[in-house]
Amino acid sequence: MMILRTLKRRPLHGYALAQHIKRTSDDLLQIEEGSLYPALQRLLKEELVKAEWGVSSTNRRVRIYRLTKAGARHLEYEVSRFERMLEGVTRVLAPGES
Amino acid sequence: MNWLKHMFSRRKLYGELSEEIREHLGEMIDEMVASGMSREDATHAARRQFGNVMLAEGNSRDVWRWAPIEDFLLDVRYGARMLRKNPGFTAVAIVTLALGVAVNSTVFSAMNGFMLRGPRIKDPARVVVIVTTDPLREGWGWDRQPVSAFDFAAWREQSQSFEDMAASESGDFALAGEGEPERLTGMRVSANYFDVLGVSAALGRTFSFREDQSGRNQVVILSHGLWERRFGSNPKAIGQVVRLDGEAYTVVGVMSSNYRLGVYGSPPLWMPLAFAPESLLPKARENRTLEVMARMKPGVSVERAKAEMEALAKRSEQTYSGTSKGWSASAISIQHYISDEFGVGMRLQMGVVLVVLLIACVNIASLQLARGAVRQREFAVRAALGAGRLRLVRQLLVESLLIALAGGGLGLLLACWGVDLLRRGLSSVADISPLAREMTIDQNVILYTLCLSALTAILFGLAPAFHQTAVDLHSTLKEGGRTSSGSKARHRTQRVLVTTEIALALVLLIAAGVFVQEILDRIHAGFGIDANHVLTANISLSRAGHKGPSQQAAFFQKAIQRLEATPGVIAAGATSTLPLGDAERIVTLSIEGRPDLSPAERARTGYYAISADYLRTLGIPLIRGRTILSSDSGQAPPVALVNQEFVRRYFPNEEAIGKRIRLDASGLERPGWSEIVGVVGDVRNSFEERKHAPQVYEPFRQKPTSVMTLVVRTGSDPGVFAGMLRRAVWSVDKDQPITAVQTMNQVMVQSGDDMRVVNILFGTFAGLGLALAAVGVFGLMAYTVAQRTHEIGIRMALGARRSEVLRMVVKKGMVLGAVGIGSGLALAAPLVWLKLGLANDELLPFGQRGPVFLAAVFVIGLAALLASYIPARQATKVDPMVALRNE
Repeated sequence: MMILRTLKRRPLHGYALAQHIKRTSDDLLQIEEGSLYPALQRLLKEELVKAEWGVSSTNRRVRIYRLTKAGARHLEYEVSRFERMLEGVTRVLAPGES
Repeated sequence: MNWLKHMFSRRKLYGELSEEIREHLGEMIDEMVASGMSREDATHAARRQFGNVMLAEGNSRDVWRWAPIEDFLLDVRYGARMLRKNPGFTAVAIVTLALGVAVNSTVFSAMNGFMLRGPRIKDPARVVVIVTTDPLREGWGWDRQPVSAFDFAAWREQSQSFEDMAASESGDFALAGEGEPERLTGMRVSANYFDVLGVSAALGRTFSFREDQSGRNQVVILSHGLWERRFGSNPKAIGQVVRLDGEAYTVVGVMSSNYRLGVYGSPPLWMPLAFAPESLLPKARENRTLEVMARMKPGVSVERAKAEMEALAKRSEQTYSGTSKGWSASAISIQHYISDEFGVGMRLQMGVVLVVLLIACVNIASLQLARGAVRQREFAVRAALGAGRLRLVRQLLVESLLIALAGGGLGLLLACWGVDLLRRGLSSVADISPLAREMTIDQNVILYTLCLSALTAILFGLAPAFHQTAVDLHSTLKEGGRTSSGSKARHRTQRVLVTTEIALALVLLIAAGVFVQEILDRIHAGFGIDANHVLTANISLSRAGHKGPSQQAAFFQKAIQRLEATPGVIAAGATSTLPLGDAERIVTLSIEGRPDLSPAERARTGYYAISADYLRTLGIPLIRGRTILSSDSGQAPPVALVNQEFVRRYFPNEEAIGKRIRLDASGLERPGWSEIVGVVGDVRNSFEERKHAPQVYEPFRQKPTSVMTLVVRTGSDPGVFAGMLRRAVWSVDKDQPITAVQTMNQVMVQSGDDMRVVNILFGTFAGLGLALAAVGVFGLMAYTVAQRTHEIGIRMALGARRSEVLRMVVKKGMVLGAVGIGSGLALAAPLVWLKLGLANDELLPFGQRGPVFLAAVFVIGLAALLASYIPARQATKVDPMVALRNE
């Protein structure tokens, strides 16, 4: 889900993606590269993202991932689900009437 | 569906993935270097941070995999490689399996051709055969007798379950015209016959309504074969006139070439069946000559049809009391009717070849087990790398499947050759030849072979697979190269395999032995005649020219005289039924002075109309009284001869000569009494028969018949005499067809053909099974002993004498052998009662089968002894030092 969100903002390649998530979450979420690529492949397989070869800022040949329409829809769906869940958990955990 | 697309671009995908990950790593390193690390440190740090690169790449690839199929393909490739590395094992396994599968496919294709393919008519499932049954008489054949014309007409009208009923009977016809005169066995059928069967003619038409009434029935339909052979496939054959039995018939149709009704193919011609008025009277109900078929109405089941026929028969019995007492009727589906003829023999063969296949499987299983010892390390390593037990088992099963498919394919090829061989062999057995032609490898056979191969793969693959994968990782990997001498479980499996093979081999040997015993017994018992130097020929007088009985008798008289006058002839005669050549004719008889019985209750005897010198020609001895003389002419008092069995049965305590008997042989209401003037030796009329039956002989001049077989005893080789025989007969009537000119020895050999063909098949399969079992048992025992070489070396180094070691090993082997023989005997026990498709009283008494069992046990025991002794001797000959070093 987070990969999708990141890619929604702009298309990125693998390394930049990992860096971005690390930075944005203030190092709270360390995405291990080892699980990044399998996740990317899964997204690619389900056609939630598209990939094409390009050149990165450091002049390396990289594969740039871009969100597809289906991916955007999926992202919305996942986000709303997560928010609902979060809401539920928050309510249950809320201090209040005992 | 996307994965389908992805599958093809997989390689590219993986390449891209690889590159991508490399680049990622590169970027990480670059950044670290930029922040001050050395390149070397950066590389290490980057990799550490990334995690397990290979695993990551592997997991990424896994996303695109279609796991089950890919795993399976991997297994296949790996298995094939393993099998290739071990060519010896692979070759032996494949060939062994191929042999087992080949014999099974061959027998199955025979069964397929004979039993499973239905008659080629419209919707055969709806057609039944109507038969009459005599429930009081048990045994063979009494539950399906033909129908009389009267019953046919009555039941056709009265029955409700059938759309229509048709009748047929065979008849002999003499076909004359251009070319040689020929005798054919054709069929007379009711006009609706082909309509009931739902077949139409290929050329012309079938019979039309009412064409089976006398006056309109001078028409004939030809079979395709006859049309090709005799009319040159001429389309203008329709409308031509042919002469059958001297009368003119018009050809109105030709049947298509793939019409087939029963086991014996199709008759050469059909003509309409016109019922003689006498046959439609109630008292002619005894005269059962018709084969009746009926097509059931839609919705009617065979059981219902059967029940209705029983009811109708009962009604007829009550309405026309006194006729056909006790007889009932039934309906049998045409499929069962045909296939029952071959049922037992076929099933027996199937049983034998299945046992052969089992033996082959056991062989392969033991081979695999032996090989498993060598592969212990391979499995240990794989298990250490993370392979689950099931994965390893699956791998081994795939290997077994590969062997099975290869073996099955090779077996199918061998079966092609085998079926061809069988077909040629069976073609010589006249009766079955049209069907033999149909025996081919068709899709049923291929399907059967495939399924069988797959099953055998599981059979010989599963147990070894489980064993081999039960690895003790620790000890196996530790020993570094030493092949383990085997776990207890492996030894137990080996023992089970050996005893199984011995048991199966014993069963095969006994079955084959029983069969051979029956045949040898028959041949040994003789037939009561001297078959050497005798030539036979069949004459069937056509109605033209020899219309009356006196003319018939005159013809044969003259023919015999001409033959006797020919140089080189010692004696000549004629008989209405040739022993071993024709089916014995059975007639009812009455004895003077004994209570008069109704025809259904009278005693039965075999009947022969013979010439004066017949007995001398065939070497049948005269026991008492006199034989038939030339003075026993048509005007003289009627006389008869009986055989010893007849005397034993009907005159056990009195003199038979001088008594008078009456035989219902001529179709007359009340034939006259004949006086018994002599007693002759017993003759066995068929190969399968063991017991003697009563037989009566009457002079043909007193009881003429139109069909007789000439017999001629020659001084020299009878075969060369055939031309002279023909000349002699044609000098009496040049248009007379002569058929079946054979020596008596040929007739005798042919009569045993049925049993002999089965025997040859049996023997071949049993022999194959035994060879496989011998190889298997020997190999396995040798291997077992070889495994103990180390142990034997130790024992001998410690001072054991060779003889002691030998005794120990052989004793162990004999124990296995004993267990195998014991279980084999238990399995073979039912064979004591093996019927071999013969009626009860035709078999050797069961007690006499003992010797076969004993002989088989002896042979197998000896084989087991040798199998344990010889390898043991080899092992003990080895220098103990070498044996000790042997790992």
